[in-house]
This record gives sequence, C-alpha cells and structure tokens, in this order.
Amino acid sequence: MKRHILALGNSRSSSPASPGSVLGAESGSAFAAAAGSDWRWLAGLVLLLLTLSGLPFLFEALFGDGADFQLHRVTLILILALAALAQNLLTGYAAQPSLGNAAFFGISAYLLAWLSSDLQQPYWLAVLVALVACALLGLLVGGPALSVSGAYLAIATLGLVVLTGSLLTLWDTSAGRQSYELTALPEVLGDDRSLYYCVLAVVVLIFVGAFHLLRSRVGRAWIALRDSEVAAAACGVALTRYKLLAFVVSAVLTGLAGVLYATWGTTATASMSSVEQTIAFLTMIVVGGPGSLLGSLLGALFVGLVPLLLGELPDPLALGPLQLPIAMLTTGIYGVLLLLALIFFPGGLSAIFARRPFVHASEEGESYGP
Amino acid sequence: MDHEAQATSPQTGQARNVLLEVRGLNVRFGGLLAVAGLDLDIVEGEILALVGPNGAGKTTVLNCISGFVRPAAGSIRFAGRDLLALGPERRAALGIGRTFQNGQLFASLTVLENLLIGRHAHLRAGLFQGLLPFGPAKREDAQARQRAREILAWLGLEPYANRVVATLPAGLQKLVGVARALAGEPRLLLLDEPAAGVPMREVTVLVEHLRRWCTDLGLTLLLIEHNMHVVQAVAQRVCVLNYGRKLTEGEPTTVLREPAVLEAYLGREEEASPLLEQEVSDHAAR
Ligand SMILES: Nc1ncnc2c1ncn2[C@@H]1O[C@H](COP(=O)(O)OP(=O)(O)O)[C@@H](O)[C@H]1O
Ligand SMILES: [Mg+2]
Repeated sequence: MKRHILALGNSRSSSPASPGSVLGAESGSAFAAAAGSDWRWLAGLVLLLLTLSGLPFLFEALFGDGADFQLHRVTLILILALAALAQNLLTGYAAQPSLGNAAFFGISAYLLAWLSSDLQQPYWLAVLVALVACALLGLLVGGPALSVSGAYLAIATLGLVVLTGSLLTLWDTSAGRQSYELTALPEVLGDDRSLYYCVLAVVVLIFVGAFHLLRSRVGRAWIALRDSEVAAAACGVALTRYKLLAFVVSAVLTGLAGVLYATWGTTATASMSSVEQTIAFLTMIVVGGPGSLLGSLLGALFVGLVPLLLGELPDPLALGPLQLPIAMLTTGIYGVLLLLALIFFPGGLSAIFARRPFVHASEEGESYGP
Repeated sequence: MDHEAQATSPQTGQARNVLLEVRGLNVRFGGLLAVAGLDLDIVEGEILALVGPNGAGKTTVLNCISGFVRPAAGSIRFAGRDLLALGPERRAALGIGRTFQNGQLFASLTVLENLLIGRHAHLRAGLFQGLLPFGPAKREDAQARQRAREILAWLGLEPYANRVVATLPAGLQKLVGVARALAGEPRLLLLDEPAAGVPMREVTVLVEHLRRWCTDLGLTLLLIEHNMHVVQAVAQRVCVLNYGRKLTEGEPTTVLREPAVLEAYLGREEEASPLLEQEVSDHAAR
C-alpha cells in the first residue's frame, strides 16, 4: 500500500524550507525529551516505592515510641489515595461530574460493620459483599443518573450522598449508637504496621492496574469521551456503556476505600456520606490534578495533611468571640483551595511535574503521564 | 481524465451497487426545515460531492447518515441495512466513518492515540483484560498501533505520531481527523469540508489522496466541499443542495454550470459566485 502513495510528507520534504521539515525536527527533539522524562518517572517511582516499604523502619528511627501512631496517619493518606483515584477515573478521565462517591464510601463501611460485627460473618466475606453491593448500587443509580449531564448529574448525585448520610444516621439513632464500631477485625489488620503494609499492597496493586487500564481500549474510550463525545461516538465508542462502566468502577474503588477507612478507624460513621466528604474527594483531584494518577496521590497527601496540621490547634478554635470547630475550618480551607486551584492551577499539583499541564508525551505515544 | 469516464458508468447502469440509499429525508429544527425530501444514492466505490451555499443543510445530511441527527421522516439504508434504528457507535462499527467540519479531535491525546480510538470498533479488550500488563489486550493493541503507524506513514504524518494533537497547526489537525477516520477502515467515509483551512499546496496533495483511497482501498466517499477545484478534480458526481432541497445532481462540469446552481450561490453568497463562474469556465476551457 505504501509504495505508490504520494504522501503529504514527501511533498514537504522536497522543499527544504518547508514548515513540515521544521516541525519534523522539532517533534524529534520532543521525542528524545519524552524518553528522558520516562526514565526519570521510573526512577522516581522506584524511589517512592522503596521509601514507602521502608517507612515503618524510618519512622521507628525518627519517632521511637510514636512511630506506630505516625504510621497510622500515613495509612490514612494511602486509603484516601484510593478514593482520589476513584473520583479521578470518573471525573478527571471520563469527565462525569458526579459527586456521588461519598455515598458508596459510607455504604460499604456500614455494610462491613453490619456483616462482620453484628451478623458475625468473616471479615473478608463482608468486604467482598460490600464491594459487590457498591457495584450493583452503582449500576442501579448510574443508569438514570448518567442520562442527565453536567450540573444536573452533579446535583442528583449530591442528593444521593445527602440521602445516604441521613439514612445511615437514622440507622445509628434507631440502633441507639453514635457510630458503628467494628469489633471483629482480623488480627493482621489490628496491628498498625501490618495494616500499613496490607493497605500499601492494595494501593500499589490498584494503581498499577489503573495505569494499564488507562492505556488500554477502555481508558482511551474514557479520555475520548472527555475530549469530544461526538467524535468518540463516531469512532464507535458506546457512550452510555463507557460512562456507566466508569461510574461502577469508581463506586467499587470508593467502596474499597470505605471498608479500609472503617478498618483503619475501627468504626463507620455517617459523616463518611456527607457533603464535607464529597468536598474532600473533589479537593483531592482538583488540587492534585484531574486526569493524572500522580495527581491522585498528591491530592490525597494534601488532603490527608491539612487535618493533621490543623489537629495541632485547639478544638474549637477561639477567634475572638467566635468558637470555630476544626472540622468546619478544614472544609472551609478545602473550599478555598478548590477555588484557587480551579482558577490558577487547572492542572493541579501534578502539572508541576509534567512538561505540559494535563499531558505528557512518552516514547510509547502516550500523552498522559503517570 | 479517466475518472470522468468512470463517472458515467453509474448512469449507464454497469455494476451499479448502491451502498447508501437515502429516501425522502426530512429534518426539522423547530420551525426550520433543514432538509426537505432528499433522495440520494451513493454507489460503492464512487466519490460524490455534496455542495451548496452555507446553511443549505449539507452537514445535517451527514449527521443523519452517521446518526447524530434523527430525521423527522425518511429512510437511510446502508449495505441493505436500515440505519435509523441504530446509534452512531453501531453505525461506525458497520463501516461508516466521518470527519467533522470543526475537527473534534481528541486534543489532549497524541496523533497515534487518536488513531487507536479510531480503531475502537475493531478491538475487543474490556475492563479486566485492560488491567493487566500482558495478555490479549496488549497484543491487539500492538497490532492496532502497527496499523495506525502504517496509515500515518501513508499520509506523511509519521513524524507527528507522538505529538499531542493540541500542539499541531490547524492544517495538520485536519489531516489527523481524516487519518483517524481511516484508521477505522470504513466502507463509507463522510468528509465534512476536508480542504477548508488547508493551504492550497496541500489541497492538491489531498485531492491525490482522495482519489487513491477509492481505487486502492475500495472506499466510497461522500464529500462536502466548498472548493470547486477540489470538487471538479475528485468527484464523479455532484449533488447540489439549496435550502435543504436537492437542486440538481450529475457530472461536475455540467451541474456546476446550470443557471439554477449559479443563482443559488449568487443569491446567498455574493463573493462565492464569481469564483464559481470563473472555475466552471476554467474547467470548460480545458
Ligand atoms: N442542531 C441544530 N439545531 C438547530 N438548527 C440547526 C442545527 N444544525 C443545523 N441547523 C440549521 O440547519 C440549517 C442547515 O445547517 P447545516 O446542515 O449545518 O448547513 P451546511 O452544512 O450546508 O452549511 C442551518 O440553517 C442551521 O442553522
Ligand atoms: Mg456544514
């Protein structure tokens, strides 16, 4: 086929001063730069993994007796990274402005507590049931929710969160409790250090899976419908199917974050399905970087650190005559940062690391960085 | 010119294999009748140009064929199948590819990735295969990349394979849109003003490509085009639309000289008409 084609490129290269050849050279250098940056990404990744694996020992040297307490805080950041990834797949990649993830966050935690503590089912079975429930619920809710778009989707799904939050509160009050305690955790998850390693293993596995998924047919279809829905449809992408798939995958991942969060705190609370929680999820991806895996990590780090820093302040904080609860202050800070990031850093923190905001071309021809 | 000799063959009825059959097409946008009772046949392997002044309804016809606009009345059959019940993605899978007047590229992705999405309907990998760093998903992807690179090489776009589309000049982006549609290996390719905004020197190359696709790939082309040089150079038949109605249809040289056609352009596009007359008389002189 190639033999007898009079290609555009040929006609360009026949004239030495043509714009084509100049562009060609330029793209060659971009190629080299991308290959170089790939190497740096890999080195950074290995360094990060080594640090995370050795963190318990590092903390022991640094904090002595306080090491386990500090490690516990890092575990929370890893769990938040899963929730951030879930929101990012749905909103940063598949471009669905859904605010409903906090509903799945709370539901899976309560299911875990109910099944393992009250019904005395094995912990792992309870986790499995919670995740399957999230998938089914995501399918059930996602269908009608995704038939509306944009702001309507955001409002409808936020309604789901508020509804879930009040139902969970109702359950708590009618059962006469403040929150749902997890009483029957497996021994391995009761210890701070082994919990950390378990969560780390899950997070690494899922981020590696997500990395490959985003470079596969499914991930490309999600990005395609973000960039142009009509063109995606014209290329054969079944829009409704792929939006629903993103919704369900996101629900299951958030459910996983929910059971881990409940395990981490040995309790499930109705505040897991709240507007505040939704804002925290949103802040993670907007501040971290929408459409970026690295952004999900950075966002989680950020959102995990703010309450830690504010936790050093007295609660409630007295500002003159004003008694300000720290929880409210935290959400307020998220809100301000959300606004600032949207206006001044649309690429989020991860854009600082990428050559271009949102995109980075690599040797394999992939334009979205890790 | 040999392609003009071919052009008569549909009329004489030799091997007349109708690929797309449009009957009584009506499209309404509120009170506006954008397409009114259009009948159109596209014969397998031919290049048909759809021309007419701005707002004549050309893009709307394309949108009906590819499934983005639902007509108020009429039927569209493709290779014997009724299309109207199918969504755009099903029509793409059947072999209808298209480009958009305004590009609609996946701007944050590279040229190569744009082509890979263009091949979406040819690939099978789902969620679970996609999660793995090995296996059938990676294998079919490697093949798709290979095929995409062939198409890029063919169009002279290979140096830009790994460039993010948003960073390319407009003329190249136009070509990437065509490459993406070709990557889906369609039977019928719908092009919405492919030469608009492309420098004149490259238009001649584009014309060369269009003809070759039809002969080499067995592709059938429906082309919306304002540039009458392009229309005369590539199209075997021309259909002229005005206010959503078919004004006339036939060979480019005769059709573009008809008084009604000249008047349609004269009446609605002051500056286009002298150019059209000029082009038509140029062509007649040759
Ligand atoms: N989605 C739409 N909604 C309302 N009116 C439309 C829509 N698409 C096209 N039109 C109208 O239909 C007519 C034909 O448009 P179009 O097919 O784009 O013309 P052309 O491509 O020939 O320039 C125009 O008057 C245009 O304003
Ligand atoms: Mg148009």
